[in-house]
Amino acid sequence: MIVVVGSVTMVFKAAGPVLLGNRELPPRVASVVDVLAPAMLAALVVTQTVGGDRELVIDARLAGVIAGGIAIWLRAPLLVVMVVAAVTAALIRLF
Amino acid sequence: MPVSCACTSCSSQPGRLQSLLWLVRHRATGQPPDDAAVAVEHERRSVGNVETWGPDDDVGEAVAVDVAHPRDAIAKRRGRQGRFEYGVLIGAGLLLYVVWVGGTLLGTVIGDLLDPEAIGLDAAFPALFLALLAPYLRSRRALATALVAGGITLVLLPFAPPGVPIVAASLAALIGLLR
Repeated sequence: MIVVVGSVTMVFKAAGPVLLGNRELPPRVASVVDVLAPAMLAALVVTQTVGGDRELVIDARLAGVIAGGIAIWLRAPLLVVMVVAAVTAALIRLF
Repeated sequence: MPVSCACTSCSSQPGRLQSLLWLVRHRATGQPPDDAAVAVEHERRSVGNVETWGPDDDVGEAVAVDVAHPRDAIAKRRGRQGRFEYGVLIGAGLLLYVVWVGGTLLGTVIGDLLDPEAIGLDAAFPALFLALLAPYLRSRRALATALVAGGITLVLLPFAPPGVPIVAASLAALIGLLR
C-alpha cells in the first residue's frame, strides 16, 4: 500500500517536468500561475485562523496571527514570527 | 557547488554553508540574500544586465541551483538553458528527508507530552502562511488575488465541507487573466 501510494505520487510529480519541462508556459497561463500561490496562502491563513467544524471560530488563534502579522510588518525573521504568534495565543489561553 | 564569482575583479568564494544560509534566509524573507546579490552584481558587471530576484524564485531547489551558479541563473533568465547542480539537489533532498523523518519520529515518541493548543502551535501555522504570503503582497495584482481568495474562503467556511473553501479560493487566481 505504502509503496503503491509512494510510486503514484512520484510519477505524478515527475510527469509535469518530464513531459513539459523544456517549454515555457503561455503568458496567460503563466500569469494565473503567478497569483495562484498568494491565493492558496491567503485561503490557508483564513482556514487556519478562524476555521472550525463548518463554522467560524474566533479564538486565541486570531490574536496570535494578528501579533504574528505585526511581527512580519516589523520585518522579524520567520521563526520569530511563529514564536510571537504561538506565545500570544498561549498567553491568552492561560488567562 | 560553493558559490563563486567568475568575474576577474573579485576573489569572493563563499562556501557551501553560506549558500545554505542564503537559501534559508531567502525562503524566510523573500528578500534576495545579500551575498547572492553581491554575486549577481559581479555577474552583472562581467556579463551585462540582470533581472532582480522576486517571489517567483521561491522554489527551494531552484534557488539552490541559482545561488550555486549565478551565471546559470542569469542564463536562465535570459531564456537560455542553465545546468542542474545535482550535488546541491541531492544534498538538499537528503537533508530534508532526514529532518522530515526525524521530526515525525520525535513527534510520535514525545508528542503526547505537549498539548499543541496550550503552547499556541495552532496560531503559529497560520502566522507561518501569512509570513510566506507577505512578500507577494507588494504586487498589486497578488494583493487583490489574496483578498478575493481570503474572502471566498471566509464566506464558504461556515457551510462547505472541509477542503472545499481552499479549492474554491484558487478561482481567485483567475484574476491573473485580467490584462
